[in-house]
Amino acid sequence: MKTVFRFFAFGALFVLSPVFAASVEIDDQWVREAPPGMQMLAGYMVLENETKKDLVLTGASSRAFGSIELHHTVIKNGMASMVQQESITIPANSKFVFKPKSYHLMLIKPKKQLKEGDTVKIKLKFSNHRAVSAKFPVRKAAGGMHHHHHH
Amino acid sequence: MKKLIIAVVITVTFGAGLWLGMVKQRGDRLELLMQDQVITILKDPRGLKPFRLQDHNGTAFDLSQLKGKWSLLFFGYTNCPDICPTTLTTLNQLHGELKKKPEQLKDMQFVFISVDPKRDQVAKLKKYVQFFNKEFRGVTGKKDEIARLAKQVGAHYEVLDKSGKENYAVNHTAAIFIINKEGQYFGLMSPPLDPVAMASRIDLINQL
Repeated sequence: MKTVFRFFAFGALFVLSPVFAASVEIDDQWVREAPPGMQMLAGYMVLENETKKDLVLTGASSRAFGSIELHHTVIKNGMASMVQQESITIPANSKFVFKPKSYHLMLIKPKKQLKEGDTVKIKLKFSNHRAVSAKFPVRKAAGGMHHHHHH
Repeated sequence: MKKLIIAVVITVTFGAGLWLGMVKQRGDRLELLMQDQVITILKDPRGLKPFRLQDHNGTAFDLSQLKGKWSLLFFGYTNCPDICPTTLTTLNQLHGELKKKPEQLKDMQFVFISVDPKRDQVAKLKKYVQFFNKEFRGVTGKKDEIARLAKQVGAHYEVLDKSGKENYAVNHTAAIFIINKEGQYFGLMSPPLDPVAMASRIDLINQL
């Protein structure tokens, strides 16, 4: 009887899984710990669009910050500049990487001093999908244990 | 035994720059294997003209402070959320690499120069720089004096404070500038900055 039940449960999971698979996932997310009193932080992540349509990220928000902007650090002719992005399109079935010296969430005016070990919840908004939230751990630098995923 | 050595090559000259490269010794001839992507060394170190700045303790920081030791200069600003903390973290890792041969650190200073003196006062700069490494030195000063030093090494920046936004951004050179013990502009390291690769180049310079 027990075995039959297990088998059924497994079957149900199998049937439902395609529904869950068509989703948007946030992986390897983190916020860089900033020196005390700093008003600008950055958040990074891998955004996975497992749906069959292109996703348009239009912004982010969090109770932990005054506001959040989407930015891209560009180094051109040796000069670094941050270019604000009104939106970022993540093509269907692909990953989009936010990482240091590249795309990042610019986290403006933290409500309190964030330290390594803290977590902040950040909500990502899309023009053509429901919002997705994730808890971002605060770290001093990119986590070593996830590093191999980036290659 | 195959003789593969890394040395300074005077083979390729790019304008004012000279590239370090991996070379292979074949007989008495050195053969260039690859150009160096990490460091550019000036053909002739360039003497610097005087400037007057101050460090994060309020101590005068002038040309004399760049003499007697190697200096690595990075120009940035504390309100910079991405590239400055990333670069300072890399410099901290480089510091850790060099610590493996402590004599390399004895004659080397790491200097973060603010190109946003309006917002980066001495106290703020100290908190900022020391967060990354207690031995790093923050430097600021009058706009004209910062420009005087920056210009001499070719560090560019553009303060975008005309926007009226409180959180204006500053565009700035991403490279690390190297000043030799004589206080001359010696060369630069350009992104992507890898601490291990940078440490190996500094090791080379020390053997010159």
